[in-house]
Amino acid sequence: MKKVLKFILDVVEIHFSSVLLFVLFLSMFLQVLMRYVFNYPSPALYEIMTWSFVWTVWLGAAFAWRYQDHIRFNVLYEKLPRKVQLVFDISFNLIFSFTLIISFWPVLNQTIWYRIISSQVLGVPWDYLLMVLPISMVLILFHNVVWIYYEFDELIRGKKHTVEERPWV
Amino acid sequence: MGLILFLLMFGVMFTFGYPIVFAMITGGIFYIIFSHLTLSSLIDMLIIHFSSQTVLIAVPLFIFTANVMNDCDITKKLFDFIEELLGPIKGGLGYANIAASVIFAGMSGSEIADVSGIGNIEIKAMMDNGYDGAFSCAVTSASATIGPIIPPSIPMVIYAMLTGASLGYLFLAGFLPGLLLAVAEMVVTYVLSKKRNYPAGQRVAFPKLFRDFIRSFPALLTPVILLYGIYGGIFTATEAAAVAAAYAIIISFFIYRTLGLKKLYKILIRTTENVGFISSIVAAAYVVTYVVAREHVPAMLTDVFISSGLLSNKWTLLLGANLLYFALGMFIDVSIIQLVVIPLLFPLVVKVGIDPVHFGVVTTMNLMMALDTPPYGQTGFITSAISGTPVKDVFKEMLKYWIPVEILTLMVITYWPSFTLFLPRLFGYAG
Repeated sequence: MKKVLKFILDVVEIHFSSVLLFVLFLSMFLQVLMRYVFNYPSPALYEIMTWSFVWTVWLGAAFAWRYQDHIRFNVLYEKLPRKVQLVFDISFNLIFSFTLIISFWPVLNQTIWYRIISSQVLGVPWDYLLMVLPISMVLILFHNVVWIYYEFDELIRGKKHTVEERPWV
Repeated sequence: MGLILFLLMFGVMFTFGYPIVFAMITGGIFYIIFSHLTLSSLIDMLIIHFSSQTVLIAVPLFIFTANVMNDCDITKKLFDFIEELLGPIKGGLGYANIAASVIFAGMSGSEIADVSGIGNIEIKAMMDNGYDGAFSCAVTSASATIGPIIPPSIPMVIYAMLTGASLGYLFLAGFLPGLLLAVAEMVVTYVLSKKRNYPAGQRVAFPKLFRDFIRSFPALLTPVILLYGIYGGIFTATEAAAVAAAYAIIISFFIYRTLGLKKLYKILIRTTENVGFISSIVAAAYVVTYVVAREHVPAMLTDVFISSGLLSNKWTLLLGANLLYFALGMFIDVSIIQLVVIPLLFPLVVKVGIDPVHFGVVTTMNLMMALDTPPYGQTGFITSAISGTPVKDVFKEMLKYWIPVEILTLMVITYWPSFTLFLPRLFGYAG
């Protein structure tokens, strides 16, 4: 189960998003070549560029949360005793998880609603393009739940877990 | 009620160390709920508005370029040549450090990429040659400040997105201030080298110097290609990011042979994670921008400051902005200062008649200084970790650059707009 989970997370958060980043780079570079060398700017490349950018950012956001690498203001936080830090971490993770859960259905419904629009050049329905946000919300929520479990474990049993110890790393 | 809850949630989560991007989103969701708006609007803020800002696409690609250059030893080759060229002068490695950062500034757009990439090589070379750790760290941190001021520049890309200022003119406006900063840093390095009797390296024979020049020539050519491309009308400032990345890949793969497919993939993975935590904050800032715009906060602030006579002319406003950036920069990450403060300040800036491009350079300079400012200056922590020098010693030494160099340069940039805008005007900027 853990292996399957790790495989899925790796594929979606690491490999797929990295390939999309390469697609973003390639489409922008090709756009320069098409315009300057062939005098034929491609609107299709522009669309690919825009959407691969958005997908890379939001899958990358989930990827970064998997390793707790997001930017934070930690000047005060680091001065707190570990137990107080854990209480804050658990509380904030719970609040954030709650907001993700209550906004998930409205966001998903709105995403599906956008099916009526298709991208101008490639004709891809917008719901496919916007689907990255619900997907990213699920991934971030999953990492949040795991973090909450480990933080509780450390708070109650004093068992400290490092990023490397976690099963899917 | 909505605004109060937004400020409360965002403020508490931010203050007590929760990731800033999630603090912004949580605050925004509370605002949406308690203002009886629909949660589905998150799609519009976090995806649709965000994706409409094509200028932001440059950010991942500049990060990618810097990662390729650092991982494929392009920066090392660059520094090796400059070290041989300037090393034989007394304190020469200090000058080499600054000169390498100026050239690297023309390839990368990030101070952190500079300090953790080429900075790593610079500090090691300086310490191996008898320079003390604190000085090596201080000169590396100070010279890394130049990175985002000389184009290309990630903070300028984000500023252009937030204000609608021309990115091309912003890039041009950064040139002279960046060079001024480099010269001022070299003067301080000269004074300290004389005073402390720092060593001079061995002179390198001309044939070897020439050989190394040829070896580093493709790397040295990068800024020239980018600038010629942007201002020669071949590609836009945003597209320059992709051209820079392509050039870095081509020279690493075919000329230096330091890049294989496996390594490229590893770089892509690392860049994706970097993009995840940098660009998602920019996306989440749309939630904050939506809240402050809906509550008319910028208009209220403008009215308060204008009607009270406080900050009602451009010189006092510039002074106020510098002081505000300084105070916030001591504690808060620069991306947050930029994304939260600029939307609040910019209407006031426009109202009192400050040129947006000029203010963009002033802002970028302030943000880069914030990265050097204790107690939270990231460059101090990174260089301290690289060198093993206590961070308090690094910050103490950095003051020698901070006060005479960075503050004076900031004053020149702030209060002499004709200097900052000289190049943009030369290229047709009407501001």
